[in-house]
Amino acid sequence: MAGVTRRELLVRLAYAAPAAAFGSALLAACGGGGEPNDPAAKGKLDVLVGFGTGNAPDQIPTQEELAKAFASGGGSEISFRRIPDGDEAQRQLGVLIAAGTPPDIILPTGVFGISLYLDEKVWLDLSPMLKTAKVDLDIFSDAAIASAKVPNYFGAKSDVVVGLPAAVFTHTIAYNKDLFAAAGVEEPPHKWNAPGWDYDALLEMTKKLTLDGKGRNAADPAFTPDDIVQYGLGHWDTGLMALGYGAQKYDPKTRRLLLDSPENIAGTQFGADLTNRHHVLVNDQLAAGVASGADDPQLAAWKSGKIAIIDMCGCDLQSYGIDNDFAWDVAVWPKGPKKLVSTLNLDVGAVVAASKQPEKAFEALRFLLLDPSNAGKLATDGYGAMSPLKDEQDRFVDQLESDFPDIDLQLFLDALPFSVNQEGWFPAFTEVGDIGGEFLDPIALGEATAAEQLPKYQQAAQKLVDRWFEENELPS
Amino acid sequence: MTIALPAATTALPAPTRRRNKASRRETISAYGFISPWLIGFVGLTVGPMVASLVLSFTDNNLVSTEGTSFVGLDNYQRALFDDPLVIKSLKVTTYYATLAVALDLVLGLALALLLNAGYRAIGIVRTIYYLPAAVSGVAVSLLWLWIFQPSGGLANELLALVGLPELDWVYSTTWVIPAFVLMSLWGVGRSAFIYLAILQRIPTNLYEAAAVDGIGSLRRFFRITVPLVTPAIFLNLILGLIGNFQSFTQAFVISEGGPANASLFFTLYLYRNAFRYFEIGYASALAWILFGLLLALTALVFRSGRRWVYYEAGGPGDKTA
Repeated sequence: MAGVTRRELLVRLAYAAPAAAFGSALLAACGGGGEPNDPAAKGKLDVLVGFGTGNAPDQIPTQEELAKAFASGGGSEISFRRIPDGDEAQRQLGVLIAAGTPPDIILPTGVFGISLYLDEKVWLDLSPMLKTAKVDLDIFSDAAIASAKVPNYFGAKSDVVVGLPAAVFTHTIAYNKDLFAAAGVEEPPHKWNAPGWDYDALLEMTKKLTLDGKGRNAADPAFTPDDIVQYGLGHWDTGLMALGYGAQKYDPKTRRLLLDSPENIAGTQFGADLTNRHHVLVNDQLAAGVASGADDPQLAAWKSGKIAIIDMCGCDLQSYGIDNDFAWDVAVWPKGPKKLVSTLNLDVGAVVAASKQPEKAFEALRFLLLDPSNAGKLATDGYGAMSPLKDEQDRFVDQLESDFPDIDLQLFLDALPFSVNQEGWFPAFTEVGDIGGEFLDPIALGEATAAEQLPKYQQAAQKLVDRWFEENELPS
Repeated sequence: MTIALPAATTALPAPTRRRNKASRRETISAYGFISPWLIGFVGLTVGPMVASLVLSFTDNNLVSTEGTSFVGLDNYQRALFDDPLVIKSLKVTTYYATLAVALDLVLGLALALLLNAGYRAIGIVRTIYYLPAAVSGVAVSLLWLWIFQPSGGLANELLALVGLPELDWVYSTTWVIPAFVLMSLWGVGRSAFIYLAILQRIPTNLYEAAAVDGIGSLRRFFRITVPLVTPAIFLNLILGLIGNFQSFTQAFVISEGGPANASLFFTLYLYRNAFRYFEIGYASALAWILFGLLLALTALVFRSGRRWVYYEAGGPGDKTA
């Protein structure tokens, strides 16, 4: 640069630097760079996928195909915002709403995801639009629509719907046929509510299938728990067993949690004893020993062929059900002392209340989740699930039959009447869940009994519930 | 009668004026050069700090559609008197920080003494010891998760080698914090290098004189080395306290605060309130409580430092200067 000394150049640079920094900051603050991330600004529908299933590579083409079909039929263009990690998806939802660029739809989200943000009124009530569109909700299976209506919050008789059922996953048990044959143990029944198939029968069965290094099973007095090489149970939902004992988490009439009920104490203790007293259930920590170094120790333990029985969600068929080097099949969950119960995972599609285009968002949900053909396709091909629409549920078996020709898939359909969703809202939902570890972990670890811990949990959790009612009101 | 002032009092001589002008230009240039950082500091640090202070007096919820209200000191009252997890997380954090800082101070000095020796390839050895401090916290956490696996993990393999019983480590309410403390020693190279910088400045003639006087190596260490490295101990203590009270990654990645909240660090609980419950108002109050606590601890250490930190003549702690 002619006529400019090095010193002058530096001085000019010194003046230019703050101007550039200030300009950049101003540009960023004014949202100059924000629009490309806001599909709504371009008239597109922003659909966040990340609250559950939906991001597996083989699930994406069906979703994209249906989105294209919606757009080509005169609907809005759909832009999928895919976030593979559930926690990150929750954070993003908060940040996007706070930034004034909320996604229009969350699809799919579990009932848990709905419950998390109910207090903050994140979800749009779809019932007025459903009435206008004259949608009959009886097209959905009873269990699905009952869970989607969040009765603890809106009341059992309310018409409010904050999520349209999109996918249903029921649970069975899966068992390693080779281990049963080797132990000479009769396989579990393939008929729901089979006589004699209860928690005690399960315990006796799994004792015979749990072996130590010397080949002695857990029913043998000489069995050595420190040297277990094969477990009767793995990947198990001990929490569900409390429901089998007749436990209930919350009573909306009395506004009280029921964590210290005799049923919950007995059921929780039974679940913990499976590991700590009877040594038949491999927990995560023990599973890591069975399959050392694996990212998902329970999955690796099952695949190692050293676990006889696991809980099998329909959502796990493509992981626990494929590439196994042993023969396996599914059977039914045993009955608890009070009732037969299995798990229902329900995913719904919800419109974010802060959406700038709620009508368009509802139209998209209507196209994707209420049209039988699209809804069936999305549930089965898009999420690997059973459709919540009564008439489309057989599709689940038809679709999976070729992948699992030897598996009794019908049991997943037959599970519906016995399946309950455990993710339903109650006051201080997240906080009560988060303090749970403090009281439940010692039970699971065998450091304390359920009778000691659950009254303490009840006391601490009820305080949170009471505070919730001091600060909030249920919708009238 | 008017008094005519000498010309010198009304106008500075030309060279002085030029010097002042040049000095001002230099000052402006200096501020100009640091201004990108200053703007970032004001916009990205001071600004959010002020915002969080204001938010801490509100019931702000990130996703709520119901607006924000001023709640006075409610958040602080809830945190200090009504929320058992705040006290629990403070206890957990204090337990961890106390052990981690103490071990870091002792082992850092021991490592520095080893690295101060003049053997061959010492440069490579020093680099190797510092490398772990430069590795990402998440990667380190995943590595240690494998090390602490109760079955087949390296830690239990080592215990078995010396005939000690295996431990449940991060799956145990008793051992999860000691496990994290052991893990924190992974970064001991950082404090060792601060010690090393001071150790290399200690004049060798002090040791030579002591040796001539027949003073043994242990006494030389406690009478010469330790007093002279107290500024490094002081610095490592301050940095260690601030850093360890803000520990987050290992609990977030490995234990999620469990089992039974036994590793619920304060920052993890703060994060949970901010980004799980989206209670930004309450989380901001928690952040300011932590800030106040660290400020008080640092002030306490600074105050006590006057009694035990030795500075060479003219240094900031030298009372004779």
